[in-house]
Amino acid sequence: MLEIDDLRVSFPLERGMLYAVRGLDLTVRAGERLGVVGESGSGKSVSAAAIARMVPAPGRISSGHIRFDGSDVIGLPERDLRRLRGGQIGMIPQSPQTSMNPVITIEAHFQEALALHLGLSKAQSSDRTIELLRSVGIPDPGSRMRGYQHQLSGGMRQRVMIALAIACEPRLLIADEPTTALDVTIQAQILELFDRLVAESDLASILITHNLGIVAGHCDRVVVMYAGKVMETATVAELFARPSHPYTLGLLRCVPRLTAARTRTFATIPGSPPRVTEDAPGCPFAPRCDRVTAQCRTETPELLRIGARADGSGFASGEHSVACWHPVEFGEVA
Amino acid sequence: MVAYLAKRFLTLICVMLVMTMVVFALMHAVPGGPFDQTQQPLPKPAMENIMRKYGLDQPIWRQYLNWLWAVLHGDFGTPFSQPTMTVTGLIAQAWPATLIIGAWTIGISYIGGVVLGCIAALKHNTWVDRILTSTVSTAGIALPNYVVGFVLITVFGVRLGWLPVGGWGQPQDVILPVVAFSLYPLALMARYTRATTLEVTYADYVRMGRARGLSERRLTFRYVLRTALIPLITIMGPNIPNILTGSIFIEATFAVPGLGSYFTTASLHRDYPLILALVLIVAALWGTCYILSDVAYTVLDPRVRLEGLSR
Amino acid sequence: MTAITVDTKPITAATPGFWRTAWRRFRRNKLALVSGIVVVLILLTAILAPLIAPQGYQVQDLANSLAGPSRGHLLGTDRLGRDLLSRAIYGARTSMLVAIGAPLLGAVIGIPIGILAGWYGRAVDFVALRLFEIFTMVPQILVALLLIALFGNSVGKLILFLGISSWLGFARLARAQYISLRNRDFVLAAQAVGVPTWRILIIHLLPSAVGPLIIFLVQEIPATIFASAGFSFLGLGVQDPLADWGKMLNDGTQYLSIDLWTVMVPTVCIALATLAFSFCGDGMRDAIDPSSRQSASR
Repeated sequence: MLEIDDLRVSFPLERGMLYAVRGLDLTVRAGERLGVVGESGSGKSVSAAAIARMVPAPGRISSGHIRFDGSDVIGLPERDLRRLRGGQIGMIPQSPQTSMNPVITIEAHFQEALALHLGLSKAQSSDRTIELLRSVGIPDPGSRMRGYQHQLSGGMRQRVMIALAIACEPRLLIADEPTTALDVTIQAQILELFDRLVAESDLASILITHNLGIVAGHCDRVVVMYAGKVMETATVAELFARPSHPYTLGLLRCVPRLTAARTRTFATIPGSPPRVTEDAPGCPFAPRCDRVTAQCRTETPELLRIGARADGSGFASGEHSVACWHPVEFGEVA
Repeated sequence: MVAYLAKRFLTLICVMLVMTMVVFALMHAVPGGPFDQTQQPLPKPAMENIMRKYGLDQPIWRQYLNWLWAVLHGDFGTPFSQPTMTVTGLIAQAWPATLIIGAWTIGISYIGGVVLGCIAALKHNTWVDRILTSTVSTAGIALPNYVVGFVLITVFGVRLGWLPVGGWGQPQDVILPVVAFSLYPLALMARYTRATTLEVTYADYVRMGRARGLSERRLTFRYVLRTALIPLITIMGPNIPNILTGSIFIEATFAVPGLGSYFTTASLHRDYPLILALVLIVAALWGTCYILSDVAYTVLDPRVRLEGLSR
Repeated sequence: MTAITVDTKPITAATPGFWRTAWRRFRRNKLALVSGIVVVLILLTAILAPLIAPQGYQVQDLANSLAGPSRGHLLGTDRLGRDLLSRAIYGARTSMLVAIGAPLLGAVIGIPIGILAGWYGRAVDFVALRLFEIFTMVPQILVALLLIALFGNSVGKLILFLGISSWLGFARLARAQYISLRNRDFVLAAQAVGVPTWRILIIHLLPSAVGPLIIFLVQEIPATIFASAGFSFLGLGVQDPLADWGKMLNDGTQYLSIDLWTVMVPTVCIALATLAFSFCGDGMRDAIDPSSRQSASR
């Protein structure tokens, strides 16, 4: 349904360029739940924004292809693009606190979107709004919708944002860290709601997060991003069972597990992700990697599919690709 | 709402009372009186007569109470400098000129400023924006209005001879003072409009609106401008009294016989009744506009409630 | 969308390297830098006036009154035949004295009031707020005018009265600063080990609050030039034979139709000084708190 091919997004700086996304390949099939994982600055949010051509200025898509249902998003005229946004692709924001117009009512948000994409009349959209708000668990939706966003709690606002994202029956839902700005207790509820709605309407979804733990429970497939590139992609089960990229392994070690021995210390990856201001060859993770070799610093590893090994170890379940010169072998790490 | 307004106006009246007391005391603390400066010293009995006539022989608290009592009955007394008139009559004579200039200034600067500010913000980072911000808004704020006034007089009055260099009476007398006076509020408005609009332009909710497929036009008017312009009330409101009571410098530059020039002469002549009346007008107007702009703000912006505004 | 992280974190004066960072940012802003240089030149002119000026400000040449520019008088002469260039240079001296002296006095009066109101809150704050309210009600320029008209004028009194009438902004700003600083951890820590309150207020907190206050001071300077020259222009400021830009403007207006130079010289001086100080002040503000530029003139 969604195909991204060699996407590049860059931001002009006072001096030089910031390469936020460097050749991203990604597909989402109908009904599939994709997770995109990476540290902040890995380019995951920018990639998500690029899908609906919403890269914040002064950034721009410098090359690549984005196809949604076979049509080229990058070449789409403004009019069709607007039909795509909201109508085909629903977005759930990172910070519900600031994502609603503070001076119009909640109902007005729904009304303008429903009129635009579904051509609903005022009365029809009122009914639909109540229905939608109820389905995301807003109590007393009839009177709530006449209020303003500041009258809602953070969790409630995110519920409204979710209702707004699915209001015009999109086919793809993109959630950019939908729970980072919320209390821990609310996070689980929101994710549960997200799961339920995706399942009920058979939506495809992209869940962007820095937390592999969230991916485990809420996605079918994972893309691990680092410095604007895909490091590894696999089904959730496969990735957790057989992480191949040292970076993925590092991320997995950061996820606290109840089963881990108490004495084990909480792992971290030393260093921080780079700001890529020159598109130099070499593996971007090399400076922080403990398996680094000279090759890693000079040649860029390509994203290659992992097949069954000649010696019979390991297996290829579905697709599992990794961009690494020295991938972690199965069984190498306990 | 009624209770809130009552409370605000009550506070205003108290503050004004204190203020008149301060001004009253201040004026009487000054060595010398209003009638000392006449060229020929008056004979003693005549002086005593005048002092008695204006109540200046009484203790100061008594004078204040007398004055207050008269004011409450609508009588602001007689100006020392023009004994044949009443203070009320004098102000009624002087204010229209100031009001006309003020009204034009408010109209031009508020509308023009908001429009220019919006244009600059919507054309952010283009040459239009750069010219508007660097020259118009900054120069307007930095240049004293009487300096601008003199440039205008020199160019349009003296060199080109198109417009009168000053005075009051003909319709075209209004033009140059209004232009000179408008510049500062216009620049101020443009600057704030640009800032608030820009702040909103990059707000999350505008982005999210775009993500729902709303048109740029709708986003501009319903999402950006609607939220951005509301805070302007807090700047527009309190500036109204400043403009309506005139500028002492503008009126001096263009020889306009308005409230501002009367304030200057009244201060110079220690014309207590006139000064007090003018101070009262300025303060009352200021306080009222301040309260009204707060109310307007709460009515227009659902986020703000009156409780949060009471200071 | 935190795609780009640019160096825009607000810094406070207490952070190490504060002034160096601010200076680096200021230097990058060309308009501010040029204005800063103009400001320095004006100040140097003011200080070195007797050395620079071709004549004394009071030297009269009645035979040559209201003469346009000539070799002897580069910018011409006024009605008493005094050299306009020399008067403009000495005028810088008077004008700058008032323009800097008055806000300084305002700061000396206003900052302590603001600090006390912000620090103690409650009753002190209540009284201070009412005081603010009274003083906001009458425009500062009218207060100054009234004081000058009542108590007479001279350079000293001009500084005094303009200073008195400008305390409000400093008090407001200091109050806001101290309210936000009051609950910081390091204040609590200092209190816990028994540091006396005055010491906390001055030694611990003032360095953090001083940046915005200095900027406010610089931004008040153009407003003060405006007011003081305005009063001189009304005939209420500096008196003859002393030179002051506003005074020169006042002298010149009477001969507007005869000799434009008498008006243009002071006009340009005032305009140049106010523009330079306000661009410089804006540049300083942006250098100390880049986020302010994002909203004000991004």
